[in-house]
Amino acid sequence: MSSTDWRTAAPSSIKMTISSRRASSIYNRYNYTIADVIDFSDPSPANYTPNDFFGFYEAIFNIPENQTGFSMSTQYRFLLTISTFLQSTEDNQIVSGVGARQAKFAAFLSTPIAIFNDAWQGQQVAEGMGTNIALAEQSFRVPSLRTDLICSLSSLREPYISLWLEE
Amino acid sequence: MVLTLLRCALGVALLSDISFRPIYPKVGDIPVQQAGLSRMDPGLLKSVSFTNTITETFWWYFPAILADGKVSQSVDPITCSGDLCDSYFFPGPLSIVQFNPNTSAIQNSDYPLATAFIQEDAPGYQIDFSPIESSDPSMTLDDCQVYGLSVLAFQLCLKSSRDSILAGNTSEKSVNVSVELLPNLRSEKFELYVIHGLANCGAI
Repeated sequence: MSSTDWRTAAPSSIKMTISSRRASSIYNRYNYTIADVIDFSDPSPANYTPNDFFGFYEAIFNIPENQTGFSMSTQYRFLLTISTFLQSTEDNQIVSGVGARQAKFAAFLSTPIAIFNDAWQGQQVAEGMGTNIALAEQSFRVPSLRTDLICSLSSLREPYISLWLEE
Repeated sequence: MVLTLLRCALGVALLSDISFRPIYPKVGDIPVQQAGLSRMDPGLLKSVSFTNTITETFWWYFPAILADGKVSQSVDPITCSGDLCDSYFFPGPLSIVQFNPNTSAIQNSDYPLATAFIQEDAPGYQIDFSPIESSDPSMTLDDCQVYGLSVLAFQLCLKSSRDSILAGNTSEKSVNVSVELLPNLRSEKFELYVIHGLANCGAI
């Protein structure tokens, strides 16, 4: 293309803030889905730069254009597909908060973080990884408003509250 | 009288509290070599076996990465709020945990009442997504990379802004080598399907 006019249009944009933090994740024992994430540590900025991402996308879209039949290559097919996929507005008819197009773009940006790392690629990571998996029985607790109420009201030390507690 | 009224009010308040909170009491520990998600590693690009399959790998995972309950979990955001703010935590799927090869496999008969695994105190990554604000710096073409060919191109723009990254994308397709802008998305897609023989099967 000899024109760059199309480049000045940005129909889809988003801001992402990436934080590193430790947590305990609960997985279903039999289908491995994440049921809950608890005990988060304080977040710290991951400090990724645009170049960290560009390198991966360069490899992903590296069309072998010098090869015969490159239009049948996975890279070309993926580029063709994703160009349409990310621009599609059809399901924006559904009100879904951030919008379907933004959600697709968010997935596009998230994927390198989720899968292009040593742990996912089966390599040994030097330090800082989790070292324990526990088996647990899931159960449910009904948070006791009575307990909370007693604790908070006891601090008032009002006579009638004390009387009620003694009963 | 006052005491009676107070007791009635407290009774209503106590009876209306019927919410449940899941808890996960541990019944057994399994020490592992490593668990959790490590930092994104651009050094992987030096591996030929990695780059040979990077497109397929990315294509396989990306469409559902935020909806796959084995990989990500929607959580409370850290840096944004409101309807236009979304946040996801990536703890690493259970399948990438490296168990100790010297320990025996976990059988269903081990702790049969246990219904959950807890990956304890492991690293993960949380990503908050929100709209770009007017106070954020503007992106220019210098922040963008273009991928593709003369007939098909995809532009990705990424710009650092404090602890965040601003991102945008646009694309251009032309079945002839020209600068013609196709009239609208629907006809553009139709033309591509005809020229390239793609099946019109909707989303990926």
